[in-house]
Amino acid sequence: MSQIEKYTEFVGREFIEELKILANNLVSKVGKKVRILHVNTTKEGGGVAEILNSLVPLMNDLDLETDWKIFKGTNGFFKFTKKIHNLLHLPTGEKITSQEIALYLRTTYDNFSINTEDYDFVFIHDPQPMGLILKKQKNQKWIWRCHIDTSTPDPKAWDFLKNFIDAYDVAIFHLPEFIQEDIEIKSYIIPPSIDPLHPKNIELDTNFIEQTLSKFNVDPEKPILLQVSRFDRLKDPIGVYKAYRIVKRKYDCQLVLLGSYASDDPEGEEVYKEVINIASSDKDVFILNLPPTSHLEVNAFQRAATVVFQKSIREGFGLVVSEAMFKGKPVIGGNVGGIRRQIVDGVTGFLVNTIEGAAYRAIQLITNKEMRERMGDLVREYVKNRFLITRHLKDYLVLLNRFYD
Amino acid sequence: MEEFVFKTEFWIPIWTNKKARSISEFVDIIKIIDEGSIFYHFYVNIYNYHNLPTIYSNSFAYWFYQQGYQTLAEKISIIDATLYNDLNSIRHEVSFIVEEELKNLKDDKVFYPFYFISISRQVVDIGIRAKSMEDFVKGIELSSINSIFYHMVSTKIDNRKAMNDYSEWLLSKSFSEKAEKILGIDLYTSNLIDVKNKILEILKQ
Repeated sequence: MSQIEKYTEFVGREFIEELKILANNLVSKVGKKVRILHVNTTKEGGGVAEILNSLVPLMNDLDLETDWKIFKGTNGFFKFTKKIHNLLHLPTGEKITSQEIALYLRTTYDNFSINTEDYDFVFIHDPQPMGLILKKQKNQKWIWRCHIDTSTPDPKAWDFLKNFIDAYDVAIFHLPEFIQEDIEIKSYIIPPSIDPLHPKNIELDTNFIEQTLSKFNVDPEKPILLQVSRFDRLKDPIGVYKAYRIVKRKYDCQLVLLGSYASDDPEGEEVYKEVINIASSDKDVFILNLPPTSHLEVNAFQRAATVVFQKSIREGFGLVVSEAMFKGKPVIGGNVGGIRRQIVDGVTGFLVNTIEGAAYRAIQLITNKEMRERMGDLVREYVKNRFLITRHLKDYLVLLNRFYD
Repeated sequence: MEEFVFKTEFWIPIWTNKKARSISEFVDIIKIIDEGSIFYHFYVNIYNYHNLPTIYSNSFAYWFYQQGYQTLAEKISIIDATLYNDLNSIRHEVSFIVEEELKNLKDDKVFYPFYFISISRQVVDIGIRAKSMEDFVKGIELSSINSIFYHMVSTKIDNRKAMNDYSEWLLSKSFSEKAEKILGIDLYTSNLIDVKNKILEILKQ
C-alpha cells in the first residue's frame, strides 16, 4: 500500500482520489514532471520539520518530485534570526545592527549552493532562509510559508523582512490574525496540521496506556487533568495547577503537567522548578519532564485524560489542541491565538480567560460524562475534516494549481 | 440535459486585508467586501463537513456571539444561506440587520476584530459521467463531500439558479419525485456525509 493510501481510513477513498486528480491536473498544467522544493533550517525538532516529514513523502507519492533541503547557519546567525523571531512577536525596541544584517546576507550567500533553480515551486519556510529569493528564476513560483505571528511586529524587524517578502509570489500564514497589514503580496491562510499516522496520534493498545500510567504512578481509576506543553510561562502551567486546586476542593482528581525543556533553555528549567516547588507536596500532581521524543507516552496520557487543558496566555497555533481533540478529548483552552480557531466554545471544548473559568469547565467535564462523550464524538470528526495532514496537502495542491488559472 | 458531468471544488482561504475592529467598521466592510468573503463566512461550516450544532451557523453570527452581541448573533444566525442563490442578497440582509441594531447600541466595541477571509476556488472535473440512473447512482457513490457541496450549493450561487444540479438532471430525465425529494434535503442542519447518504437513499428507492 502506498503511503497516501494509508490515510483512506481517516478521510475516505474519495478524498484520496481527489488528491490524485489535483496532482495530475498540476502536472498537466505545468506540462512536464513537476518539481517542488521545501527549504527550512532543520530536519528534526519543531512543528515545521514534523509537518515536512509527513508532507514531503506524500507529495512524492502523488508523483510530484519533492525535495527538502536544509539552510545552514552559524550560532551567530541563528541567534540573530531568533531575535528577529522575538521582535516579530513583540516589539521590544531592541536594535538590529549593521553587523547582524551583514551576517544574515553572508549566510544567505553561503547557502546559494542549495540548488533551487531546477524546481518549479519553491517553498521557503520562515524568515531564516527567505533571502534565498535572490535566486528566483523566471517561470518559477516562490512561496513564503510563515509559521509565526507577524501581526504586531517591531517595525525594524518587519522592515528588514519586507525587503524580501514582497519579492515572493505569495505568502501563506496559519491564521489571518498572524498577518501584518502592509504585506503587499497575496496571502493565503492554511492552518497547520497533525498526522494521524505519527506515533503521537496513532491508536494505542489499552495495555500500553495503562502501563504508561503505571510507569509514572498515575492512578487510571481517578480522573486525570492534563496539560501537554513546554515549561513556559506563556503556557501558564501555574494557572493550570491553581485551576486543579479549585477542582480538587470537591472532586478527587489528579493533575499531569507533561512537557520538556532543553538543556539550553534556562527559562524552561526555571518554570519547571517553580512548578515543582509549588506542587511537590501534592501526591496527585505529576510534573513530567520527558524527552521530546516521548511521542507514545504523550499519546497515552492524552488518551487516558479526563480533561485536557491548553490554558495558554499567548499562543501560536497550538496544534496540541487538535492532537488531543483527534483522540476524542474536548479541550479547555485559553482564549488566544490559534486555540480560538480550533475550539468552538461550548461545542468542541471551552475557551476560558481565567483560572476560575478553567476550573469551572473542568468540573463540568469531570462530572458530566454525557457532555464529555458528546463533545468527544464531535471533536474527532471536526479535526478529521479540518486539521489533518491530508487537508494541508490538498491546500498546497490547490494553491499550486491556482498559479495556472 | 443529456449527460451529468460530476465535478468537485476546492477552496483555500485568502486574506482580504480587511478587519473590523468595531460593529460600525463591520457594517462599512460588509457593504464592500468581495462576494467570495460572504461565500466563505456563510458556507464554510457546511463545506467543511458541517458536523457541529448549528445554533450559530455562520462566522458572522459566531463572532457577534463571542463579542457579547447576542441579539445580533441570533438575528444573523437565522439567515439560512442555503435558501439563497445570490450572495449580494445575503450581504444586504446582514448589513441591514446590523445597521438597524447599531442604532440601539450604546457603544459598538468588540473584544477582538473580525477578520474577513475570502476564498480562492478551484473547480475540477472528476472524470465521471452519467447518462443513466445506474451511472448516476455510481457517480454519487464515488463523489466526495466537496463534490456534493459543489452540485448542491455552489452551482446555485454561480449560476443564480433555484435548483441544485442533481434535481435538475433528474427532472430532465423525468424522475420528478426523486428530484423534489433531493430538493427537500436540508443542508443547513445536516452534515454532507448524511446529505450524500440521503441522496443515495432517495435514488435507490
